[in-house]
Amino acid sequence: MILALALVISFQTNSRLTLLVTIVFLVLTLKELTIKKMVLLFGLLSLSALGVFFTGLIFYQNQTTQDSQAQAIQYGLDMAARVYCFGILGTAFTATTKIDDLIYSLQQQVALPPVFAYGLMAAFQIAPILPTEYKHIKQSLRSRGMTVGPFSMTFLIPLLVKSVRWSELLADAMTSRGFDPAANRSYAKTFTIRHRDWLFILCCVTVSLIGTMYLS
Amino acid sequence: MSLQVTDCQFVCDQQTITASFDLKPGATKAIYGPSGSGKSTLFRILAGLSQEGFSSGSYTIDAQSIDDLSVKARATLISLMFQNPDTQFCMHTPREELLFCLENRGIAPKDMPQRVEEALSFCDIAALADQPLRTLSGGQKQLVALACCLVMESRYLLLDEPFANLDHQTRKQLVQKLRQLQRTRNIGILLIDHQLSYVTDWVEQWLLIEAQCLSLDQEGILALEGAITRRLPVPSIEAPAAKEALFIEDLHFSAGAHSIHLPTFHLPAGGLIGITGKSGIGKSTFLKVLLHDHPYQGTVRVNQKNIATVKQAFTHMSWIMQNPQDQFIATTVADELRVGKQDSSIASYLTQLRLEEKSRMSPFLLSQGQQRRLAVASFLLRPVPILLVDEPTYGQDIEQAWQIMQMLADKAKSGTLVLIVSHDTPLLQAFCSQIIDFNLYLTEDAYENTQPKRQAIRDFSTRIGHFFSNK
Repeated sequence: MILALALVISFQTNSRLTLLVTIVFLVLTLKELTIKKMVLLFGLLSLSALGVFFTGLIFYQNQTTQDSQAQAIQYGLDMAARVYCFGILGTAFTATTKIDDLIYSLQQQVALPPVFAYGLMAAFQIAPILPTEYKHIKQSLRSRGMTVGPFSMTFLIPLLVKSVRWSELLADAMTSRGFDPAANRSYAKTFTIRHRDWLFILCCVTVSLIGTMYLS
Repeated sequence: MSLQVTDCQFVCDQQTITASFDLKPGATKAIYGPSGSGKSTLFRILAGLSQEGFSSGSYTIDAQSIDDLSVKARATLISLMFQNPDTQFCMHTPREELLFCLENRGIAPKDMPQRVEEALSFCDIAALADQPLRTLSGGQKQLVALACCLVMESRYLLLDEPFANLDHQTRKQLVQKLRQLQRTRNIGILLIDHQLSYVTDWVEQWLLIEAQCLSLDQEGILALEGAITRRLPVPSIEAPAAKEALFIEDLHFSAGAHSIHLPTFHLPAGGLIGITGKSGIGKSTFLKVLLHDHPYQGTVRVNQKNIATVKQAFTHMSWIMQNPQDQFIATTVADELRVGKQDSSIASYLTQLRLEEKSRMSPFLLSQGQQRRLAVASFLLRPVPILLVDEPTYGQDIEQAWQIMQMLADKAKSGTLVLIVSHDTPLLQAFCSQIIDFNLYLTEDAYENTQPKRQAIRDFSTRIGHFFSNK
């Protein structure tokens, strides 16, 4: 499984051209997305990149008053390219990896403790329920003839209490399904790091190294 | 070879209970007692989930103390099916949940798919295997829970009111599945249920939870139930005032694959109206229509005002939801009742609810039955023209169900129109001035034109949600 290595590369953001290379590299991975999603993604990215470009431009102009305009534009482009790169790296990661798979894999490769792994999964399970809960509380308050602003503390208390309560119930449910963090367990899906994956890591590292040395 | 409980002493609500019984493989026993009497506490102790309240005695399986077993070993011996179907799953879909069970048991991965398929097909839920658990109905969730017990291959099952939230048909289906499972696998079953009629020909012995645990046979329990019912005061159904509170004409709305078409109804202020119909037919959806939360066609008028022109539905309605936990907003029971009120007359109210000792506890820590009483009570203080109540008596013993209905009837007498959605037809017949059976108004073809803006917006927002999640 191609894992968090995409994130590792994203720390290597020293030179602009390396970033462009990475973009091309990752667009290939983006075949997983539909055209509609691609357009939306690039639209959003371009918007923020444009913003960052001008921020970079003006910042540079203010910093060094005597320098040429070309250098300022260069700096702006540099910043904008970074936005694209981060965006695409992120998408490449989420488009190819399911969160459950990632957790399973971490558990099997990096020996992430099962308690933590399943806790994490449960948290992702619960997150989508929160908006519904928020709505319930709002309706409950209205049913009692009260209206409260959207950011009132009144919402916070029941939500907090409920989260704690859920975690208790969930722990009970897991125990009654025979979940024992200390015991040996088998895995329905196994994840291994294959030669391909090592090759991929190697490629990424060399490309970024060469890029930093020669293209800056 | 049996589950043996010997002089097991535990405390629930300052009351000490001593239980002694044994359960042989293939046998069925049931526990009977008022809500909040410690039935769930006993189950939690037996399932090894908590020692809370336990003081002395022993509970063993095949002469081995349940507490000495490892979690893994215990799970294959004894399984608990929870009261609330919403909070008993750890994974995303039924298939993942079943795989999780098998992983916990350390079953070889190559055997897993077959076992999962077997369990799914036994419970008739193969079609639901990859649907998110959140989207399933209460009955379907309980079937998934049953499938989990199946793959765990537990020899004893503890069922904590597994049928409480289900309609007649689904209940019968679940009971039938359980009996079939019991016959083929020789499983010992211990269950809690308030509705005796579904299980009387199945349960061999009833255990009455009191200070000393008494055991009764079938006739005994029916006689007891009869005695309790006779003790209950006969409700007086008063003819409501002529003033009209809610007017419905030619109302169409969709609920799932079908739609409901209601003809003209004049519902008077002070009326107590029951609404019944099979699970998923759209009873709760009807309440949402009234609350402006679901698209509809037709006319609905509250106090002569068309609700389509009223901005805020809650100004003339209160809604008591199905799950009491969805509505609690305060940190203590007393505060829960006090919300929105400044008066201090709560003490007597608490006594009436038999919750006076718990006034400082969090509402979430009450038993399921107590939570429901509190939820209903906390909405009765607001003077409002229309009160919508969704399944108020689920998980209650007869006495308390009766009490809740009495509270609602009193509310109706003060001039409020109370609409009650419930599966419990006998109860509705005893209290309500009119019963609307939704089964009569079902139209099969989905109503196409009710896709207004709101629906489209919701559709759009879920799509955006999909975009940002993994595919």
